[in-house]
Amino acid sequence: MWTPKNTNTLSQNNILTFLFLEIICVVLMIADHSAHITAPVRASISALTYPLVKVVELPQLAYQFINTTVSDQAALLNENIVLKQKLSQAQIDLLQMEVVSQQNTELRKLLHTKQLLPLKTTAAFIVNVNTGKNNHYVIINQGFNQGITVGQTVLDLNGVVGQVDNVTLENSHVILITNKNHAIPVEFLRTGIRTFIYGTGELDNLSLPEIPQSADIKLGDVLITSGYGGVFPPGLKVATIQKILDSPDKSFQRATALPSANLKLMKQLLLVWSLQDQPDKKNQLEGQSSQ
Amino acid sequence: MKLRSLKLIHGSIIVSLILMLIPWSGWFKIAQPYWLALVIIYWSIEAPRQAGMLTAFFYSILLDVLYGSLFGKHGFSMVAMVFLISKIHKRLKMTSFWQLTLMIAALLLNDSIIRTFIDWVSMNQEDFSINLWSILTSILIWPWFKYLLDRLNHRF
Repeated sequence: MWTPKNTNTLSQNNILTFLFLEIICVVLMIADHSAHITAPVRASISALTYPLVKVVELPQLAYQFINTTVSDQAALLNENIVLKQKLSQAQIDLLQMEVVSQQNTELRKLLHTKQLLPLKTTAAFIVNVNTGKNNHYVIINQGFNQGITVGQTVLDLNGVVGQVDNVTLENSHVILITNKNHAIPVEFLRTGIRTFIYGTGELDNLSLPEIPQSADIKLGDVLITSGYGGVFPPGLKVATIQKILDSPDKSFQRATALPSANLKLMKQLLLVWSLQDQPDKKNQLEGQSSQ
Repeated sequence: MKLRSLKLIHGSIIVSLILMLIPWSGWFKIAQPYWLALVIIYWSIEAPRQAGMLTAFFYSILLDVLYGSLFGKHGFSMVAMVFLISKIHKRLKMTSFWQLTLMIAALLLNDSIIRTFIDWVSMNQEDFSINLWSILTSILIWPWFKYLLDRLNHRF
């Protein structure tokens, strides 16, 4: 496939090929800093890698298949009963919620604040997980073809997991909130003080190095997304305060927080659609990409 | 003969990519051997004309897409490694087994340093720590790996 035809020129071409390829790599790396340039390239190359991802997924799918076919009926019936109980409990909760949300809208009207928009989500499954020291991410089984875009918020049932970082044809790459390079604008649910949460590279630890010295914070305070920056929708649970520390120069309070999302044991994730990019606009997105 | 060995080369590289994708957790993920580099090292010593820098570049870009890492990161380090091997591959073929293993450890270390440096530059990370576990497991697996590929290579 890549065989150079002439053996004599091989050694002479070596350095040139080397320099040429390295320059291509450097150009790619620089271009990669803006997702607009390399996203289509990634998407098209990912068509080649798609069968590989499928092969890796195969044992997982086989396991799930065997699990469902082999598990006996008694277990299924039991599960069914438990699920029904959970559902009825959830419906009761929902009834109460309706009353509460009604009250909430009325209060908000009184306060002239804008409404919290209901979130539209779709479910996605995790294909691959990488939680190495410096780089925390997962790969999910939805991509460009499903209309996923870079920057989409990813949740699990307990809280914010991260955001979509790279999109390939059938998969996307989700950077976790615990990634060392990730920051998320949040506010304290109790006091409304705004700050940032940074990842630390540990799955059960987030850091808040920039809380104002005057702020009133307590252990167990809940942090929600503030919606600032426009990436994460407001009002999603992110973490709870675990430990409060003083910074060495006393200019800020520092704290560490425990992520609400179950980052160690997640299987299914929810992708949040903002109002601008609903899944039904998928065709339009594809049309843009082919230009 | 040539066509068959090309099949073997590309087949083994694709298998190594699949190995790299297996979702391990915790320590196993950190200590996962760098399979792709091992296969590419093997072929660039054994068959430098069929599996040169372009092959290394092509498959490393695939790895970048699969991992979602910075585009060209693995490509950059892998091409550098194959270039170094192409400079010394005649000597590498002649050296004793232990010397070869040591050389490969050095190459993998170099490769790891390049990738960590790229991470360091592109992500503004404050610590510059190299994953030595992965190099260690790669080296431990290398003899068996070479034996297996030798067997396959000579059968075809």
